[in-house]
Amino acid sequence: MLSLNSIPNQLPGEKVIKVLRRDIFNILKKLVYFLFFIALMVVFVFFVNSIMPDVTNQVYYPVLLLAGSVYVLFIWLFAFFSFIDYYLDVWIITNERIINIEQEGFFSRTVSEERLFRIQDVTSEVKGVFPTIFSFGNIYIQTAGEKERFVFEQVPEADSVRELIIKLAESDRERASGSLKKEELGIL
Amino acid sequence: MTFPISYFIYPYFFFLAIWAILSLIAVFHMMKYSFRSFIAFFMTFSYLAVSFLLLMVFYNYFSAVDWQTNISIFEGIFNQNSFVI
Repeated sequence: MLSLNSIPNQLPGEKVIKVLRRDIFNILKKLVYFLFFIALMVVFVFFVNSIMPDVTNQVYYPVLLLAGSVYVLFIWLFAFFSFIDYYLDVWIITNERIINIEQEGFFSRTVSEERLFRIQDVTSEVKGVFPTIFSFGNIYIQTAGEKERFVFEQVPEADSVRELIIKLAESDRERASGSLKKEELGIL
Repeated sequence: MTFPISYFIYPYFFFLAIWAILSLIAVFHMMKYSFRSFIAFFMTFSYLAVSFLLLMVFYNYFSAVDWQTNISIFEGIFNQNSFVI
C-alpha cells in the first residue's frame, strides 16, 4: 500500500495539503444499482416460492441454487470493483505540485504531476441538480507543462478547491521568482 | 437425455474460478495501489469476509442436495406422437 507520508517523487520539504477523490454521491449512486439487482433476486425468490411452494423438492432446485450463487457472488464482486474504481482515483495537492492518479480499469494506471508555478488557469464547473445541491464538480487546470490540462472529476467543494489551487500556485510563483532574484543578485 | 445433476457443478466451478481470479486481482490492486487508510483496509477486509460468508452459506445449501439425482431433458421430444396433428 502507498502512504501519504511518502508520495510519488516527493520533493524536499513537500507537504500534502489536500487529498481529493470523487464525491461520495458517486459511489452512493452505484450502490443503488447494486441494491436494485439484489432486490431483483429477492423478488425472484419470493415469486418462485409463491408459485411453487415445494420448489426445494423439485429436481431443478439445485440448478437454481447454483445460478443464484453465481449471480450473488458476481454482484458482490462488481460492487467491490466499483469501490476500487472510486477509491484508486486520487488527486493530491501539495505545497509544490498537483498529482493526478487515475486507475483506468485493472492493469492500467496513469500518474501525472505538475509543479504549482506552471499552473496558468484554474476553472471549476458545477453542473446539474445533484452537483449543485451537494456542491461537487469538475476542476480544470491549465498548465504550461507537457500535459496541458488536468481534470479533477466530481470532487467535493470544487469552488473552494479552485481557490486553494490558485492561492498555492501564486505563492509558489512568488517563491520561485524570489529564488531567481536572489540567484541573480548572487551572480551580480 | 438423462444425467446426474452433479454435471452442473462443473460449469459452476468454472464461474467460481473466474470469480476467484477476479477477486484476487481486485484485492491485489487494493493492496498495491491504495493509500494506507482505515477505509482501504476495512473495505478489503469486508469484501473478503462477506465473500467467505456467502461461500459458506451456499455450501450449506449445496451440502443438503442429492447431487446423484438424475435429470432428464429433451425426453419424448422425438416421440412419433408429437407430430400427430
